Amino acid sequence: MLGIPLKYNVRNLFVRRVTTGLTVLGIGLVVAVFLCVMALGEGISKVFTTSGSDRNVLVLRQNSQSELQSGLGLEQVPLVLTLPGIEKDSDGKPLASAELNIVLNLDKVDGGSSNVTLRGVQEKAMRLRPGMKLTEGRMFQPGMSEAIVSESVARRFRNCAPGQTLRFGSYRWAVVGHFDAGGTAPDSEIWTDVEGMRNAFKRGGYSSVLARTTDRAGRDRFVAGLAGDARLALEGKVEKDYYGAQTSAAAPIRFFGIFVGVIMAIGACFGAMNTMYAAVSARTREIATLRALGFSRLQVLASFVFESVVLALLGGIVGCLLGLVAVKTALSGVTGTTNFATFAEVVFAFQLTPALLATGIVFSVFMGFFGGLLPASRAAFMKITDALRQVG
Amino acid sequence: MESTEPSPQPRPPLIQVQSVVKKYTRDTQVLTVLDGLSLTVDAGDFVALMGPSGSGKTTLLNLIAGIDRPTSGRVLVGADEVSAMSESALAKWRSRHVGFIFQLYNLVPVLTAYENVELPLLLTPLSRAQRRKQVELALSIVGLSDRMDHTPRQLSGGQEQRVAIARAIGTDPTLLVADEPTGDLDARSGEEILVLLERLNDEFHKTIVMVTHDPKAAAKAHRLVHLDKGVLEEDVRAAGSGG
Amino acid sequence: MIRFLPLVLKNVFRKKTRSVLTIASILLPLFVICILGTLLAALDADPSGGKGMFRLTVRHRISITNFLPEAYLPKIRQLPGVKEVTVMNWFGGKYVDNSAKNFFARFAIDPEPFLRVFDEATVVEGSTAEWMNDRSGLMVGQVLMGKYGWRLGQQITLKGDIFPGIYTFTIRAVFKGADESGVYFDRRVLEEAVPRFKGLVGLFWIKCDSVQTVERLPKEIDAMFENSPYPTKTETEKEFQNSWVSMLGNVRLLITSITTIIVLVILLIAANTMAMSARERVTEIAVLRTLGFQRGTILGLVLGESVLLSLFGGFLGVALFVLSFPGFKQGMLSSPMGGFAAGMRLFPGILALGFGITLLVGLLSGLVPAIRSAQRPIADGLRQVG
Repeated sequence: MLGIPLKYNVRNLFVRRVTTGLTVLGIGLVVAVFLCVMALGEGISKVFTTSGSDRNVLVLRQNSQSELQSGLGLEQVPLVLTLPGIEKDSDGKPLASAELNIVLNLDKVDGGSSNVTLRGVQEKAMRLRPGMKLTEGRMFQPGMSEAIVSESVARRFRNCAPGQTLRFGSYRWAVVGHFDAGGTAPDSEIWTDVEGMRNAFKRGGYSSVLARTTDRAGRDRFVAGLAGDARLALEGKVEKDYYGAQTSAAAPIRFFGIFVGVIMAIGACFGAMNTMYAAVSARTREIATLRALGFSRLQVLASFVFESVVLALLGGIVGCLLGLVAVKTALSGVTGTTNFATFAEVVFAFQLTPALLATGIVFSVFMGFFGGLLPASRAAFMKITDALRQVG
Repeated sequence: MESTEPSPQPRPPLIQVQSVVKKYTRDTQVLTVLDGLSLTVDAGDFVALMGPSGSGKTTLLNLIAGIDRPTSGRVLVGADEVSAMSESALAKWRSRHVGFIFQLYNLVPVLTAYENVELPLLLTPLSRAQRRKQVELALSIVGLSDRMDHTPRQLSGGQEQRVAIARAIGTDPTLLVADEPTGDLDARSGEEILVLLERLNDEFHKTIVMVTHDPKAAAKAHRLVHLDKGVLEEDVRAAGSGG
Repeated sequence: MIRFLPLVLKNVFRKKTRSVLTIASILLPLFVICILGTLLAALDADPSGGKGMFRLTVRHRISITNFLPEAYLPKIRQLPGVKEVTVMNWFGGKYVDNSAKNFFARFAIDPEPFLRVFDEATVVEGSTAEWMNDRSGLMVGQVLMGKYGWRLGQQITLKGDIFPGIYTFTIRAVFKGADESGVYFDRRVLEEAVPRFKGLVGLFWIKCDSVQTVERLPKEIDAMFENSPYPTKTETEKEFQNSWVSMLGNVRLLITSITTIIVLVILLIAANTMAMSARERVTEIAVLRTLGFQRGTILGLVLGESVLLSLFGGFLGVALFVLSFPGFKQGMLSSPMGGFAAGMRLFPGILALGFGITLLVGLLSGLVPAIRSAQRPIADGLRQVG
């Protein structure tokens, strides 16, 4: 259908190396910026989409958006644990953990400070979070003011290495170990024993209870049981959904990425258009000759649009490579932002997924297509006789 | 030098080209374009440089006009040793002493006839009013006073070349160099240009050095210099020319 | 050089399509740069007009989400150099729903001392008296009023989470001058609704008599409460604001890196244009030099052209930004980024930065073509066709 050999376009791009190079690099940078910002948003939402199990139910005070605003009295916990649907552990006790959440303002390694969730947990807490494991040191001992810190938090905040002490006025926790939760929510947390923590902070209750249910039916029964007991004034949220709802923390950065990406893409599109107009005007006689040889307008049009798409596609590939290099090198570490739903930091890593890379490529093809359309139609609708006469 | 000095003029020659060699290096090949050439041109003369293509006539013209430098040898114009001047001194010298006329006119397409003629005057300290006077005079000499505000695109080839000539004489240089001034023109326009050059030589005493292939153009000159393979082959003073 | 300006101007628009496209492709990224710069500047903006340098905040050492006892207030007040102390509680809660566009700051305060500490706030609609006399009166920042199109006397319902319950307030006063993106109401409303919060304070605000006091007090206050069950962290208003920005993560680095890359993109596009136009004008430049134009002049002409072209784009980009700013700010306020948009205004420094960047881009993009044009031997240039 194209008729005009594609080689012709590719060679022309090569002949005009400098211009081609500048344009490709320009488009590449736009794609790379877009990808990096989107990878940031992807990183944040990945924390939430991969966190939580759909068999776990998080028990909160009614109408609480997060654990931070929630509260359960000491006397409520046994009532919750007797509700049907909770799985029994091998020791016969319910597989559940009553927990307390407080955010700590910690100093960052690179200056400034941010809030980190300190979570007081009971002994079954780790079993409720499969995939979480100690990587260094040991588990804290209840009643000893000891804490374990996620590796990601330890990398970003001061005084978090095993043997160091986290201190606030009269509060002190000895860091005894590090853990890793595979990029899920606990990776943004510091854990300690809940009873010790209640004593230290003089709290009369807990923030939440996390419980494993037997199966889907058990889960529904448990959630219904909580809702059915008006005295408790509690509600149960499937843990996975609870975290899923927090992906909105990534909304600002996504919005930002798309906003910057689209405006920059339009700008780069004009740049590509410029290059293609120059290509058309430099080849005026050539185009006329092709037309005189019998190639149709449509074929000339297609040929130039194709050239422009190839140009932009090269840019897209360069952009993806730049993005990959950036994410693998400069942006390879973990970083964090505050989730204002919990007032605490979410630690995450940039996620440049294949889907994002594909978006980047499609993005560049669009730039090439729209950038090439007008110059190509100028080429296609040029008068052969005038064009042949033109010098240079 | 084989040629004899026919006229007993007391004035020293305006142009002295002394044993000039010009070599170009293209990739690894060294090309000798001018090979020890010498030539003098008197003030007020009208010289046609002729020869087959590649004979070095344009190179010689460029050397005389100070837009290229010899590999060895000297080029003097008036009291100035053109071949020894610095780049910036040369530029200044050209703007005062040389007017250029090209085969393809080489007007700036975005400027009007007036502005094209004014262009070299912008390099002088002349005020706007003084420049206007000069430009108008130059355009009236070439007979285009009524085309001042036209852009090159709106002019015919012959008219474009006349604007180019006006640009060349605007600064009132002593020397005019022309490279195939009629090469891209039809016979009638070409004739007009030649008449104009003749008049500039006669009436305004401009020394003219012109490269040409065109026998008709050569016929207007007072002296014909033939080059071949970078050496002077023939130097003839045309019959009936007095200078 | 002024006499060459008409020539340069004509060169800029020699190929109209190209110039327009280049200007457009500089304009849009520059528009983005202006937005990013304004966002960044808004993070650092001081809505208090300098009065904030006399203020300190005191919060719980653990984090802003922990409370301090109200009993600290008289202890702080009696310290030398303290002119006024007031309290502030973060209400949280939700307005309509939990979407980002319905997020704004809600504070429970003591109206009278609050206005003495934040004396840069001036009421522009309604009155402070009406606000203070109505226990459920609400004072609203002007920016927020505009965002929602609220009217004086309108009732606003907030649903509490930290302080459970449903609260209905009546807008009694609109202020400007301080942080105009929040609402303020009498904290007694909360103490009545949720008695267990009585006597608990999220934040103390101190107004000091001098900058020296501001420097001295934080250590004194924190030492005073160091070994109590409620240790404190005292910061200047600036530090306090910065800690919020720092909580967002490395926003500054993110925005500066994106801006840098955008500058690079503009540079590439502009350099491409200049390279194309210089290439097409090789002969013409050789002719100019034949006429006696110095190398420096040629350099100036080409650079002048690239600078002018770039500045045109810059000027239009900045103009577009300035013109679209009011609408843009409204849009931002209701976007997911609303929280960061409140402090945005037209910062002269950012507009100047925009011009600075285009000037730089103009110079850099023209540099290589300009030098090459000036350096090319005349005879070579004349030989080249078209």
